[in-house]
Amino acid sequence: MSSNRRDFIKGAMALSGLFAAGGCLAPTEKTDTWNKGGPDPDPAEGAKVVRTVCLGCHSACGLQVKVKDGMVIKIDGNPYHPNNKEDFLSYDTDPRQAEKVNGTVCAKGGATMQTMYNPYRVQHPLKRVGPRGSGKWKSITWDQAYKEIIEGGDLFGEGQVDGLKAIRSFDPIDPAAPELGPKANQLCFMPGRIEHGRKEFTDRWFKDAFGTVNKRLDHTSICETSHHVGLELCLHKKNHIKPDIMNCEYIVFFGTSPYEANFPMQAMARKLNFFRERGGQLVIVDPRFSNSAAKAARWIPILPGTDAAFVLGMMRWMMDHDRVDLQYLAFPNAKAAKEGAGHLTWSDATYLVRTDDGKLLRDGKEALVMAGGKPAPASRVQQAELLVDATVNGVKVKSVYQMLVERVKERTVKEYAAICGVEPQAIEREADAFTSHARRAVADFYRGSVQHTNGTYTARTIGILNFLIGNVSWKGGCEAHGGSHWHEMGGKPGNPYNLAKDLHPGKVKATGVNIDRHKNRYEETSEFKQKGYPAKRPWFPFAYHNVYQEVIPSIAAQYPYPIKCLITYWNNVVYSAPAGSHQIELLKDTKKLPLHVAIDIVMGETSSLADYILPCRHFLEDYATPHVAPTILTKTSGVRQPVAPPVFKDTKMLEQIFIDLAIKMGLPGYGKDGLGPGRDLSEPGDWYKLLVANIAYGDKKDHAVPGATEEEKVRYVLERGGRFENRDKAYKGPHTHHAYKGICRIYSEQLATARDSMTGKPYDPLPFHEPVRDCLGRPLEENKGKYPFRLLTYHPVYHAQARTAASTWLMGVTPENWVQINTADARKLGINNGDLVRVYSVSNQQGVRGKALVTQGVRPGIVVIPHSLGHWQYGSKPFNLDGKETAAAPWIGRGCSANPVMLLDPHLKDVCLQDPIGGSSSFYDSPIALEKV
Amino acid sequence: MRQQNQQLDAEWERSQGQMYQFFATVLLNRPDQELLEGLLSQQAVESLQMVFPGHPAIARLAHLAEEYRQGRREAEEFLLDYEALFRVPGDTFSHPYQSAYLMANDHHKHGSRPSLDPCITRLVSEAYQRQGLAPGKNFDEPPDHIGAQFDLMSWLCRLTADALDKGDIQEALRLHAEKNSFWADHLLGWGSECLSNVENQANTDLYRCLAELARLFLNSEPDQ
Repeated sequence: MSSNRRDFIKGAMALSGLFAAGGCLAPTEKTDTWNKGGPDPDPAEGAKVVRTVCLGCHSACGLQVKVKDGMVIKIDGNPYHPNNKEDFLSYDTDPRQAEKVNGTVCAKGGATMQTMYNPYRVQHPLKRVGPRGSGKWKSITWDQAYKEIIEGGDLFGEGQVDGLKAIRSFDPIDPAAPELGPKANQLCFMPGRIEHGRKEFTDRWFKDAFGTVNKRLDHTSICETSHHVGLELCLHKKNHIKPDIMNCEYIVFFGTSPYEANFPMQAMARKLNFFRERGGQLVIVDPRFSNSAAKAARWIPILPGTDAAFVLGMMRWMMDHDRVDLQYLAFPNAKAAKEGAGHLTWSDATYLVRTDDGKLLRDGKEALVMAGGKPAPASRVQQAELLVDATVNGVKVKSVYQMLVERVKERTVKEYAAICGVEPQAIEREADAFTSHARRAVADFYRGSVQHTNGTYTARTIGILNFLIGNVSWKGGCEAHGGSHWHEMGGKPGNPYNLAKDLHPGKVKATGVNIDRHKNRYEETSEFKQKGYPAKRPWFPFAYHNVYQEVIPSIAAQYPYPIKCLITYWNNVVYSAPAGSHQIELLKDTKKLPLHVAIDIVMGETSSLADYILPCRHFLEDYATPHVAPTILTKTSGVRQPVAPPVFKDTKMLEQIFIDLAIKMGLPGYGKDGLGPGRDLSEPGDWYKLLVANIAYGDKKDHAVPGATEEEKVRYVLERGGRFENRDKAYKGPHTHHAYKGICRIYSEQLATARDSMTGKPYDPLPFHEPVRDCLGRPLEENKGKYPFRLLTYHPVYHAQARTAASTWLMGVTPENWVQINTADARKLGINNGDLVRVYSVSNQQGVRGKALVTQGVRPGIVVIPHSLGHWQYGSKPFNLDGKETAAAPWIGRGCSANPVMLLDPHLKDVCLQDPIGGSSSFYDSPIALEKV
Repeated sequence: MRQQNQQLDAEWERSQGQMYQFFATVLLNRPDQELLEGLLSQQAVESLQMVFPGHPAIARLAHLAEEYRQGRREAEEFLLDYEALFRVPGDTFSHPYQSAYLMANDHHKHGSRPSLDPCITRLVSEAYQRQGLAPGKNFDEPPDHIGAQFDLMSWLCRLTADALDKGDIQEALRLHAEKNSFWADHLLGWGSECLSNVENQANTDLYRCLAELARLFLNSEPDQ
């Protein structure tokens, strides 16, 4: 041994006697789990853990639910789900080990157990016994409900009512207008909230079995539909963008508060915390000082509905200061963009547009560009000319970018700023910041920008701002695809069951015009041929996602045809839509709407106006396969499954209700062999086991989860609450892994060649700021003297939509609903903090009342009322059931709602202002007044 | 491993274990009077000189020990330094947890704040459980604390030595491999960086020198 080694040993051993050994480990026979300083031990000893997906809001976060003795006792976040943890568990983690780790869950998600055990839920099928909306009901059996709904008859002592059997006829509604379709279209399904897995089930029922085109007119247009439509008119088959927050350096959010709402709220808030810790710049453009603005580098309080003007101002500054990525814009095809600068996308900036008809100049199907002074097919050129104003074969043409420059330069930055009500420096500073981070800068937006009459134009304008710096699909840039999901409906090589195309013997074909005229062109109708413009009510050829607020008024107007039966599910349109309370009287009209069946869990504001209420299950008792937003960059397929036995045994899953109806009616595709020979569709599990099997096997061959049999694979997925791609699959080199690889359109040929059904005028195909207008294109008469304020609403972090007021926990943390008013405005009106005030408009003089919150956190001239409170049903008031008054909880009705005060369209008078392109309802364009009461 | 000279190897393993335990003790324990008197004694300095011959930190420690014995340094100064380095999340907190360092490489770039990770702490505690070890009642830190990991290395060295003493070569080889694996899978990835932070952020030469020596010792592990 060397002397060094000997000295080492001697020295080390000498140290041992100098003080007591102070290690922390000791031998033990019982190896306890580490319970100090590590993950919290679960207080529910012996609880069963079930993983499912939340529906407290629409973010579809994972839940890890603890159940004991058949009751839900605690809700935490699912640690496998990327919404709930940044470093979510590897998918192959043992589920028993995963029980020791909790992901996050927001207050709403944790409180959903209260709405499950809500004693004010409807527990049995109900039938009205007085006039519709009179609040008088009796309990009936399911069999009686089914029989009457299917067979019809003199159901209420008010005359004959056609049931579903009679309505299901394939004779034309109007032989003189065959485009309207068959009489089966007189059945309309209007779900408020319906998710994947379930919506495909009901589509199959209504469209492919019953035969109505009115298969699903859901809530999207009171949420954000113009956001989707605007982006669909920019991208190819994609309608949602989000920043890659974890790698971005600058984000400007228009019309959204990601620390309170958006998708998914808790993941966005978490990611933004990391973003800010890294020194990322967060900018919030919103008339209201939200809690997101409180965390931002800058808050810019523009006037409502002027987001497009602000962005056009940014574009103007960028063009004036040479901050546009002209190299990217000059690539006219995918190959050129990839080889030229590594882009996965390209733009239409160089495409030539005919100035006579607004169409692209083509050679056959191929768009043409100018290269070397000569027109050439876009697919064959490496780089094309950006600024073109020429004549080609006698046709005057301009390049898209030429048109964009001309559009942007119609105004100066100062003029754009004046529209927005801000200083020009606010625009200049953001334009400079936005273009100082290469591609790691993103402009994002949500419903605050688009729930205006100009929503689609605004969506396109903000989306296109990103194209000008070429940031789409780059790491740290604008994500237009997201991780997406496995295809639960099948149709991919690895999926064993193709429910989208097959497995429906005897299916029928639904044809005709939708009652809300979405995706239908007025110019293709008999009405247009007879009378031209304007149509009686607006048509929405670009509203791919329904026009929810238009459904009841159209039924009342019997336009374009009468409806005989409306089935609503989780629908509260009279509460949730702007000016929705004006639809109450329309819904009560039994002549215009002979039969209304509501499927709901409570006596809601809208279901109280039904003829029958069929009680369904709470989402914690339900199945579904919800998807997530492109905030999440890895493939994610959450699976919702019942976590506990149903609280109220006489309720049914939505799928079971429709299976029962279909079997009794003999509709094709239900009951024995309903999914094909040897495959019954008699209960919801028959459907969902096929969907989960598709997820388990995956989209590609040999990409199944572990398991020797299909059943084992399905169990593998269910134990984890879904299937989730591991984190290391988020990126691929300098791009996101599941990146969008398509065209980025600045010009919309579709808009340029379509006309507004009410004005006959073509739409604008470029980024555009349009002032607020009614359906006839008339600027809104603001009447500033009488209604000097603009009313806004928003989604507070502890509440969501219509459903959270029944939770005592959530109501406990938001006990009052404030009418928020600027300090200076309040002083002029003599209003102090806490005073009772009345908010009213020209459409609702009676208005709503609430307590004033006087604050500097609201732009002068703006009044804000948060959503989700102010119920007038929902368990806040008793109703008459079987001759007795039911119990009620008045606290559920606390607060006030902004919606009843919102403006009706001055021409139509029965529906709110709407975006004529995307179909979004206007929540933010209503002039109002307020006074102390 | 040289099987011919079991006596020498067992002694070597035991002395390694002793050094790991020495560093575990100073990292895990507040410097009370007993610990300081032992640590800053002449015997301690001489012993460390034998283990780290000629290292400049020893001379600084010797100077500090002299000052302490003469009453020119207060115990409170060392206590405050220990608290700031290992207990109180202030400006000089060294975040002595494996997950904080590995998470820092993952998401927390550009100077952001590290955080704990239950997955990593669980892996480390499983390594303890495999040896039949568990935390004492008074230990209130996450299991991936650097002191706890040094303590495990100490145990593995001593158990190896015991196996060699009993002539159980297979067991000794197994334990030796466990020790090397734990070092490679856990301490290697972050231990040196953590000790560098302690060295740079310490207010007293006591923890500066101890961190420097601990880092030197840790980095010499593959040669042992």
